[in-house]
Amino acid sequence: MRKIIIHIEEIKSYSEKIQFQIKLPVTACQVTGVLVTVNPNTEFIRVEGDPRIENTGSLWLRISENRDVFFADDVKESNHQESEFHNVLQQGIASEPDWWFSGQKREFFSITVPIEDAVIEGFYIDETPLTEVNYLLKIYLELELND
Amino acid sequence: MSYKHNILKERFDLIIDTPSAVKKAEWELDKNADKLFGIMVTSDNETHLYYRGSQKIQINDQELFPEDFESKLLMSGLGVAPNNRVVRIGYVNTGNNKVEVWFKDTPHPSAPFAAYRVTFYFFSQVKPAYLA
Repeated sequence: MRKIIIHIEEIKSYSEKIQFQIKLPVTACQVTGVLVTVNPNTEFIRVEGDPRIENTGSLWLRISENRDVFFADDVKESNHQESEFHNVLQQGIASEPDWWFSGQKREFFSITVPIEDAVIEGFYIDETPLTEVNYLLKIYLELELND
Repeated sequence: MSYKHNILKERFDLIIDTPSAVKKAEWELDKNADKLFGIMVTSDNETHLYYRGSQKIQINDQELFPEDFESKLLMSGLGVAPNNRVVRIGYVNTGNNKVEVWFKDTPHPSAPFAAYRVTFYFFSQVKPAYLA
């Protein structure tokens, strides 16, 4: 059986480094997908041309029992105007700036991680080029459960 | 409801007229719906749905998407090929055909509140004729 769980962390300070644990259902046998989003509580105002403009931070997920990192990625702000969600290579209708026209479907990062322990450890570093930071980091895990 | 190639496509609307609130809706899928395999969410105000919306969805008392699952993860723009727009969930038994949705509106600095419509599309396989 498939199940999705969401782990939410609130990031409130600049360059914050957090370590956290995600508790899984005891019947979880493997992680099949990971998806991460960032949801600002206050508007992100960024300097145009800043190379760090898209990155919000870096995330690592690992299985605590064998200290194995199975997911590591840059986390980007989920802004509907960013190129990540647009097919920028196409012209015409797909190059319209409205998300409704050109927004791409988000999909879980496909992964197969067998689980024996019911805990996953996470580590996150804020890398926003801002002094005022206030956002929610949401980590979605798609799990396969034993029936 | 539309019925083609043994696939039922059903649409249900929800009007969000109160900010920062959870609205519950309960719908019944067509009696011929056997296995639910896809969901899609749209709105008359895509920006609001993208930034403000999240929902929990259950069918037949089985949780498909948990509380706080963001609506933007169930949305697709016109840039996605029509056959790929649906979010596939495997083939879930529709059971008693009862679909429950708890839609949560959350304030967001990029989308000040105005009432908006949220539309849910459910795609299911029809029961085989010999079982109906």
